[in-house]
Amino acid sequence: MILNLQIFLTTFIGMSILALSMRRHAQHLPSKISQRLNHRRLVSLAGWTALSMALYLCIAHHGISTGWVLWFGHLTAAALSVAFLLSYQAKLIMRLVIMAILALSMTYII
Amino acid sequence: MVIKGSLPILSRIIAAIFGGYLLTQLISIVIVAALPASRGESLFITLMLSFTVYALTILWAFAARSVLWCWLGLLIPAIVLALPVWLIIQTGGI
Amino acid sequence: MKETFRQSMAWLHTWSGLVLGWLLYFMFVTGTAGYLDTEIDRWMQPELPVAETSSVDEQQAVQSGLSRLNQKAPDADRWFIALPQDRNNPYLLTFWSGADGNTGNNVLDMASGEPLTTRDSHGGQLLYQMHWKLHYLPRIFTNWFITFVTMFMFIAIITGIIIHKNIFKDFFTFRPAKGQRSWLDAHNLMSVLSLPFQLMITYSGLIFMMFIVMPVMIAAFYGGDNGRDKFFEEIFPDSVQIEKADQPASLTALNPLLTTAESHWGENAVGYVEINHPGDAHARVTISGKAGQGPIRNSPKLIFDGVSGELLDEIPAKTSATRATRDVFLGLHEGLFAGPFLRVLYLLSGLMGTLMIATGLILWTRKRRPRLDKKRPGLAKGVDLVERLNIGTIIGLPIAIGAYFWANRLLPLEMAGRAEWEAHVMFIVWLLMLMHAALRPLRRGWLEQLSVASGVFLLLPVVNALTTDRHLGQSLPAGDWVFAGFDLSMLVLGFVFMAIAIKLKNNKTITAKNFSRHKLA
Repeated sequence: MILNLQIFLTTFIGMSILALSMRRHAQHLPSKISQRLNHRRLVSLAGWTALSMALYLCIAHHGISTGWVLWFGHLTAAALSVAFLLSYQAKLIMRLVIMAILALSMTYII
Repeated sequence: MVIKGSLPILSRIIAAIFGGYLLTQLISIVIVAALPASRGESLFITLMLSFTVYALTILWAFAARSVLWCWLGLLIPAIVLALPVWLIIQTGGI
Repeated sequence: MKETFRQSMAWLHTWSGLVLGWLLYFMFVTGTAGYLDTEIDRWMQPELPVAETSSVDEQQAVQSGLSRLNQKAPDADRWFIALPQDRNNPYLLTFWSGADGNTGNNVLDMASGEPLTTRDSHGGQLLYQMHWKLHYLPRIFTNWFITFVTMFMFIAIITGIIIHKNIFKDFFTFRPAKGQRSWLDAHNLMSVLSLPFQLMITYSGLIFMMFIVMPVMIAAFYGGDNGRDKFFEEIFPDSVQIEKADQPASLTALNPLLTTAESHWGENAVGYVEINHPGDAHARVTISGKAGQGPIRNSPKLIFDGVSGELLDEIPAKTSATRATRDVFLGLHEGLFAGPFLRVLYLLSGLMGTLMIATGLILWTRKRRPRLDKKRPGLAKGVDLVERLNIGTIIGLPIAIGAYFWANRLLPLEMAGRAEWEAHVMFIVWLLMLMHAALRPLRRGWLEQLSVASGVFLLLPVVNALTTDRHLGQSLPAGDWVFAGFDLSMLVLGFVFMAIAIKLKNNKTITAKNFSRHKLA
C-alpha cells in the first residue's frame, strides 16, 4: 500500500509540475514564482523526471508488464486530480505539491 | 457541417465498410505470404494487424477528396493485388 | 466532400461516435462493472459465506470436488474442479459437461465438501457477459455486431486524436460552468487522460474477435473442410483432445498426482484439475498451476494418464512470442491480474471511458440546439431524438442496473426462472426509462430520471438490510469488504446522481423554455 502511495505522490508531483510549466496554467501561481518559470524547458524536465521515477518504481516492484500498466493508471489518476484542482482550487496546487514532496520524503525515511 | 446530398455519403460508407473489408483481406493475405515466419504464425500475427489496415482503408474512404477517388483508392490496390493473392492461394500459402 | 482532411475526420468522428453511441455506452457500463464481477456475484448470492482463499488444503478440496462429481455426474464427459485462489476464483467450484451437451456446476463448502445452496441468480457474471454477448440475441449475430460496434469505437478514437488541435496544451484544461465549452473540455479530459487505456481496450476487444471476423484470410491459407480446425491445432497445440475409448476403467487416485504437482511447482500452486473422459480407458487428468502474475495468465500444466496416473506431458507456461502478444492484449483487456489498487485504477479508466461517451453524446445536442430553426425541421427532430435517447440511456441504463440488483433482493426465492427474470426486470425497466424519456419535456425528463437513479441506489442498502442480514451493520464490523464495499458504492452512486440533479435544478440559465427550441408534437 505504501508503495502505491509513493507512486501516486510521485506522479502527482510530476503532473503538477508539468501543468505549471505551461503558460496557460502558470497564471495560477503567485507572480514571483511564475516569473521564475521562464525556464519552461527546465521545469517541464523536472516534471518528466518525476514521472520517470514513478515508472521506475512501478517496474522495479511489479515487473515489466504489470509495471507499465500500473504507471499508466497512476498517470491517469494524477492528471485527472491536477486538472480538477486547476479548475476549482488552483491556489492550492503549489501547497499540495509541497505537501506531497514532504509526505513522499517521509515514506522513505520511516 | 453541411452535407450536400446523402448519396455521396452512402457511397463512401459502403466503400469503407465493404470495400475496406475486402481490401483488408487482400492486403493481409499478401502480408502473411511476405512474413518470414511459418504459415500459422504469420497468419496469427497478421490477424492482429488486420484491424489497423481496415481502419486505414476506412479513413481513406472518407478523407479522399472525391467519391471517385474514394472508390479508385480502394479498387486500384485491390486489382493490383488480385493476381498475387490468387497465386498465393493456389500455391497453398508460403 | 469536405474541404480539408481535418473536416472530413471531424465528420467521421461525430458520426462514428453518435450512431452507435448508446450501445457503446452500454458496453462500457457493463464492461466496467465486469472489473467487479465476482464481487457483484457474491453480493447477489448472500447465502455464500465470505470467501476463504488463504489456507486451502489442496488435497482435501480436490477430494471433495471429486466425490461431489462422482455423485452428481458419474457419466459426464468432462469434470472440472477449480480451487479457491483469489478474487477471480473465490470458491471451490465443480463443473461437469456431458457428451449430450448437459452441464452443471456447484459451489462447494470448503469444510464439509457439501454443495452450497444459493438463490438462483446469474449475478455479476451475467452483467459482465452482456458486455459482448448483449442479451436476447443469437451469438452468431452478436459476435459480428459487437465487432462492428468496436470498429466504430476504434475509428472514433483515431479520428478524435487526429482532429484534436492542441492536444498537449489542452491536457489539463477544464473550464466549468461555461456551457458547451465545458462539455467539450469534459469530453476531451475524459478521453485524453485515459487514452492509453481506451486504445488498449478497443484494440484488444477487436483482437478477441479476430478469428471470427477475419475468416477470409484464414480460409486463404487453411482452406477446405477442416481447414480452420487444422489452423487452431497448429497454433494451440495443447488443446488437442484425445477421443473417448468407450472402455470402462476406473479413475486413478488423484492425491499422488497432486503431490507430483507440488514437487514441480511448490506448495499451494494448483489452480484447477480437469478430468476428461472420467471412468474411461482414455481418461486424462490435467492439473493446472495458478495463473501467472502479469497480464499473461498462462499457467503450467501437467497431463497425466487418467487410469495409470503416469505423467504424460508437461506444458510450461511460456508460449511463442506471437501467442504471448495476443495473450498480453487479452490479459490487459480483462485485467484479471490486477491487485486491489490497480483494479481501482482500471475502474477509474473504465468510468472515464463511459463518461467520454456520455459527454460526447450530450455535446452533440448542446452544439446543435442553438442552430435549430424552422428551415431545418429534420435537424430539430434529430436533436430531440438524440436528447431523449441520452436521457433514457445515460441515466436510464444505470437505473435499469439498479433495478437488476433490486430484483435480486426482492424476487421470490422459489420463483421459477428467477435468474432469467432478474435480467428481464433490468431490460423492462430500461425500456420504461426510454419511454419516460420519450414522453416527458426534456428538462423534466433529466431531473426525474436523475432523481429516480438517486433513489434507486441510495435505497438499495436499505433493501439489502430488509431482506438479508448482510447489511452495513453486519458487514462493516466484520470487515466483509465485498458486502460493505458494494453497499457503500451504491450510496456514493446515489449521492452523485443526487448532486447532479440538484446542480441541474439550480442552474437558472437553463430553463425549460430554452432547453429545446422544438418539441415533438
